Amino acid sequence: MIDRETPRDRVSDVEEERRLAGILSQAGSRTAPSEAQLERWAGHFRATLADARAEKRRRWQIRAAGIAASVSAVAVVLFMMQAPDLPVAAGIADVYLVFGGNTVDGAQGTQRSLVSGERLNVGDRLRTGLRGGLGMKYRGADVRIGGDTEVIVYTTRLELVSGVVYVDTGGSRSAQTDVVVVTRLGLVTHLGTQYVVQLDSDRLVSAVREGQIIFRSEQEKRQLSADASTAGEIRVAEDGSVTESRKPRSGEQWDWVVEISPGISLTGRSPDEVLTWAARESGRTLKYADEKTAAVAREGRLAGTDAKISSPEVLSAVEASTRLRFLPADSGTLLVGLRDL
Amino acid sequence: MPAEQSDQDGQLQIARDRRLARRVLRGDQRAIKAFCDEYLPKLYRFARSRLPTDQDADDVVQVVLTNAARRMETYRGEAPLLGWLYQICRREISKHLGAAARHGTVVSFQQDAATESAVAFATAPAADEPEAVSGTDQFAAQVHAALDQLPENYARALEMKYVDGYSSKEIAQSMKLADAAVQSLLARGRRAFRQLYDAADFGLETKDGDGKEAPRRYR
Repeated sequence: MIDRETPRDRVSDVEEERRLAGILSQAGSRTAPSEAQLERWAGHFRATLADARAEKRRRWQIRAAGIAASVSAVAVVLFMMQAPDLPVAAGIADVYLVFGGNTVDGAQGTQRSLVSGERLNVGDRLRTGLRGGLGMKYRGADVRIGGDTEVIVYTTRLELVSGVVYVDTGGSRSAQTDVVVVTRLGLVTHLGTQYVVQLDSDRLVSAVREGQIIFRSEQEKRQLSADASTAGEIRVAEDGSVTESRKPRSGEQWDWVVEISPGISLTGRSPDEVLTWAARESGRTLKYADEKTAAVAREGRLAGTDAKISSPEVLSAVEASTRLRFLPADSGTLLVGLRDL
Repeated sequence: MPAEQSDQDGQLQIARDRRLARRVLRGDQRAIKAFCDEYLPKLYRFARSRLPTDQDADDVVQVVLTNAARRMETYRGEAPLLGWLYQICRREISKHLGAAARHGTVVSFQQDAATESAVAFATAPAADEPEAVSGTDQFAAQVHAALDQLPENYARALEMKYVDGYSSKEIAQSMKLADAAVQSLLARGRRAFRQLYDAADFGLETKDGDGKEAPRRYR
């Protein structure tokens, strides 16, 4: 619509214009956030909206199921005088291990210390202490969060704000076990794997030591695999440039993962079973020096307490209580032989 | 600007905001982009002018967006969307500053006027909140806050004309409008800005050293 002005308006506009010119030029330009900030916030807003919509749909489904269950209950009550339980909204991740000072900011704005056994909900923001860390079961996968890390938990993804996350899907991949780690520099997902994602102030590093991962950003899509002896690593700089390299399957990048292990109980298991687990935990492949050794490992049964122990403790326990011993090998192999009687 | 027209503009803005919020809730990507383009810079400036560092503002904007995305369906369109977002932002700023103070990360704010005023602002009851307290930065923040309350095309045209010194023709080229439309836009922008400025009790009548009229700082 064209704004029609009278001559009187024009005179007052001239006066006003002079005043406004002074005000506005003195105040200067409005500060603006960087393009990167805008992009990141917009991405975050879109993703949160999508989660909120998915959550709303889920609530409706639960409500609909509740109504259906209630209707069914009326029928059942006629026969059994007992109504079925209505479905209850559940958390999306179960914390199995916590150490160091960790907190969680709930979606409702509450902050609390995180304890083992806690169930996390959509939108919970986890912050681990400098020497903290936690392990949780999320979408069927084992997810471990390193120290000084901030992660927001959503139904279909983990948003890594800063720090480091390890994901072990146990080699499986399905719609239910897809674990996507989203960062401001791109997202990482997998094809059945063990992988780590680390977001620093100026770069993203992701490494895979079993299976494959896919990295996606606005400019790039890369697929990265581990092989028998090395891990694949991808580095993404702040400007979005990507480099790939091969790295050892164990080492500093992975060491912290062992400290947040869910552990394994020895009782009733064969040495082979627990050694396979311990080897995977440390990114190594289990090999036996010969068939005889393999047979001893498979046929034996371990005894002890039901306490869950870490992979280094597993190795010590097996070595102390069986004829098996560990032989020198490359860093990607856990080589097991038999001790002479 | 006649009060009636101002009221109509306000109602139009609210109706537009209501439609935008509904489309955003439906996941309409164009609406989400429009929302982000218009409101993210404004939220940032709102937070930045009240917090000590860019990082603080960045954190707060992110939290505000989380809350806004989750609560968008509670926006009833009774007031402008920007005001609704600012309300969330105020709460988050208050929480952020409170948390920072508890963890000892806000240091010597007594010697830092901007932070001190931000703390005072954040903890003041909503009815007592001045949009700024004192000083050159606060004056600029006030002017920018007034610009942010205008429709973005008004604010952009005013800024290009009076801050960046572009001619109407250049603005017309940049905004892909006819020259006459830009003149009209500027006239409407000036009126709307003036009204906001008056409502915020700005002084407009003082003169600068050259004898030209210049704004009096916010008291």
